[in-house]
Amino acid sequence: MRYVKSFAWLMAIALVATLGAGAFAQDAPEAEAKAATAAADPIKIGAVFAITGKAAWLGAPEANVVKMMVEDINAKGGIHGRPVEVIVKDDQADETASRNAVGELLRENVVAIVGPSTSGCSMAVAPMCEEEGVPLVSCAALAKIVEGREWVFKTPQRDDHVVERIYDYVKEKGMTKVALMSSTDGFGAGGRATLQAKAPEYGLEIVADETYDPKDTDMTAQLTKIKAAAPDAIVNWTIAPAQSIVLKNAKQLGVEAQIFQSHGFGNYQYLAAAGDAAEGVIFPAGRILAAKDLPDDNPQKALLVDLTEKYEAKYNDKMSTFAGHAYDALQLVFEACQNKEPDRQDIRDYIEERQGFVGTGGVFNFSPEDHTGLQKDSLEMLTVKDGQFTTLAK
Amino acid sequence: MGHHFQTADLMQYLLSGVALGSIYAMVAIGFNIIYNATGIVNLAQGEFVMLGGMVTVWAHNRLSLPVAAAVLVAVVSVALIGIAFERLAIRPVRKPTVLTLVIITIAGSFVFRGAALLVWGRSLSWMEPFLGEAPVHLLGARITRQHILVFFTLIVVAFALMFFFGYTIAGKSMRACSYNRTAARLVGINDRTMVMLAFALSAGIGALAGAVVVPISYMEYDNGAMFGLKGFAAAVFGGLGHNPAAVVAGILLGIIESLSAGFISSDYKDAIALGVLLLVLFVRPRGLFGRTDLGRLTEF
Amino acid sequence: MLRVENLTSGYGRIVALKGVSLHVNPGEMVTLIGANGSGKSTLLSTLAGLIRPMNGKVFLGNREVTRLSPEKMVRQGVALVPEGRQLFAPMSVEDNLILGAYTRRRDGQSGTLDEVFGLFPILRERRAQPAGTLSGGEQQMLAIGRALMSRPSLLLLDEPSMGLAPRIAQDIFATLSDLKRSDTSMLLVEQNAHLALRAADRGYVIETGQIVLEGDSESLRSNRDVQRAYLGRGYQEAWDA
Repeated sequence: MRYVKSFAWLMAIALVATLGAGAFAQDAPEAEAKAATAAADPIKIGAVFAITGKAAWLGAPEANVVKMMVEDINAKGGIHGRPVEVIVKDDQADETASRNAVGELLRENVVAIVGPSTSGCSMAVAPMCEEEGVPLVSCAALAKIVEGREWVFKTPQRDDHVVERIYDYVKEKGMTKVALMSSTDGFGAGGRATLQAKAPEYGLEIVADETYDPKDTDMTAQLTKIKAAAPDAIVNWTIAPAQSIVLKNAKQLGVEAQIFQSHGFGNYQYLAAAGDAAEGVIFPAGRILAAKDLPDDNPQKALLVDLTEKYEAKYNDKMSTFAGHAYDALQLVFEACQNKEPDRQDIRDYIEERQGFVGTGGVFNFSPEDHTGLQKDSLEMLTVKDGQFTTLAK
Repeated sequence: MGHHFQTADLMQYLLSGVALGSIYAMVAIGFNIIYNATGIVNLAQGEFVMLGGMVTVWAHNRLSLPVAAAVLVAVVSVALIGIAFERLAIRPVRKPTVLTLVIITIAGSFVFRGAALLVWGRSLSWMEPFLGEAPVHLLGARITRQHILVFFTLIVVAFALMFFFGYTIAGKSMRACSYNRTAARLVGINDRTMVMLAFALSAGIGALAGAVVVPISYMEYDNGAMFGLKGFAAAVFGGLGHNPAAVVAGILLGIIESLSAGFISSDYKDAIALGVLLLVLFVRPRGLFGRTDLGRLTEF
Repeated sequence: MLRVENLTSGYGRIVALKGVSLHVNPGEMVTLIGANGSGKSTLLSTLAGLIRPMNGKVFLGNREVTRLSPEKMVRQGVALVPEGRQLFAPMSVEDNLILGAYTRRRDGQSGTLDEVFGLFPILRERRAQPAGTLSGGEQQMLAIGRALMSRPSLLLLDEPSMGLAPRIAQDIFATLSDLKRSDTSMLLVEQNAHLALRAADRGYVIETGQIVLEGDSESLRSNRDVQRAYLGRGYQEAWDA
């Protein structure tokens, strides 16, 4: 029987080790949020993020910023004199886990839910919230999440807007031949479809269309093929570390075409990993990564600079776009509770009518027809100069 | 344009494929060594590669060790982890069957991945190429020095192993153990020690592969599975347990992948590589160069 | 040399040896005869350390060696030539022999190699050939040679004549007799009782895990029960002889 024991022992360690980090990340905000709200009957808000697992780099900063916001608001006395409790759940970017998490939150009678982090999970839980009549403010990019839905909103810029900004720029510079590269995961495949669909509208010719596995370690074959097709521009669409490898491989092969990346490139880790090869790459993203470079009259500047400083000081980590999405989502819910009653219907109605909400993703103008609230001008064209993200000089 | 470009492209695909395949081959060799010693497929092999890359980056960037020392630290420490794995998880098994042991190696891969997550978090580990960034022009192709280094590392490992298994008493004893465990014990070879040595060697070679590839591919805590899968494919392709075959099969697999991405479609490159593998196994179940059938699983 | 006291052993729940006692004197060749499944091979495997005995004791000289592993038994000077030869088939003849001297790998072993080649000259000719390609007789010689490489004081032989042509079996026994003269003690298990009793000094008869008869070779050869059961003579023939 000894082998059974040693096997069980191993499995136990495996479980502890893989779940350990997640459990800490998950429990911390929950526990502290609860501690602060012991006094009065708290306003309960739900949050579902991919804090661990394959999309942890989205969910972990989102959970961080939520924790920071809850501490802040409770330090200021809560809302209507009631403390705020945000119940944070980790769905590990797994759709079933996400549905379970939302189910638990509904049983807790939350007034609204922010998240999930990924498009897949958001699509999975949106019908539940729709049926139950609970406002859901998703932190995922896919525009479809909100389409035809009454109770669902989202804060990130839409992926089709990202494509439009890239193509606007490509066309403006007189380029006509475009090569596409994308990873074979959901993010890459979605971007690829939009890139393909919109090219004809801009009169662009797609001369190559290559894909790679998000875990691939070498993309020189795809780039060699692209190089032979002699495009003016290359658009690479992924959220994997592969985007740093693509840049290195392109440099290795001496590819001369202008390289564009998706908004998924907005992550300092990938920038650093690509090193010199990242210089001059262009990508559209929210303004948060280049907050300091914005002109002083930009309406978002004050918020972005302030939030970035606070976040970076508290977590000793670079600010991320995704933390911004969660900030916008939760801030909308907070505002709704402050200006109306902390009630599901009131919150939904408030968000749907909200105009001119200054968030990290842009200035939001919601309407019954538009639950994303953002236009493509919410995106800024960014580039890399001396190893830093900066706005692209016009 | 035209013909000249085509040849240069072909060279580029071939050389990229060789570099890619060299890593697969090194992982495959790791699979083979443990397979020969125990008859099991160690599904934690990819994790040794991941750990090797992680430790190298950590030793170089955090401890500021020179590259060579960092690689040495990675190889030695991961080899020790391999020994610990064998002693704590494999050896205590009372009635070992191939299935039990393989499942234990799967559990082991979770442990290593989880440990890497706890130690290094989810961030990407990377370091500068050992010999600088500038690409080398070779036969019309452009390739980095690191890619060339990966290939040479494979060659050195392959020759070192040929010498070890062919000319040293320790290497011969390991082979003897794989051919006939009872007979090996009867001449005084401690089979347990040989199994431990196999784990150390396998882990060390995996770590070396991880160390030389990390400037090219970067490393995350969950990268091991991909290396394990491709390496396993190369090992089966060549014929499990056969090291020179693993070298050829690994490189072939890399070239097939690269050529299908270049000439057919990058959408299907993995599917094509897998298809070729299945076809080979269908026609030759023992792999390209294997002598024994895959059905032969030596008793532990 | 070797003293076995009341040894009980077997595989799993099957008890193949039930309280066997025997001894081998220095320089002596002792044979163990018995039918298939009588426990002969179990005894040798237990003595070599491959099977742990359930009960009883084994002494080498004055040292108790009852539950030592095969690796340690080799170091104590006991080498088994296993049934079916068990060579390292893909390896060369020379490598097989070198591995036979594994426990002495830090001393010189070339002297022993020459001695083995002296006993079996054909192995010298075949030294670079893979062991698996040798003929049956050559393989048996190699198996014996490999065991001798550890310079054992006690050689255990399990069915060395099995599957060999009578001529070749006789050659091998001739070599074993030579070995006896060089002071190596031997415990020999054989189905071919003719050959065994001709070469050995003494013998034991084992039936269903128990020793039923012992004596010097001459007396065993003339024992009617032995003749009838193991020497292939019919009942009447044995009676008449």
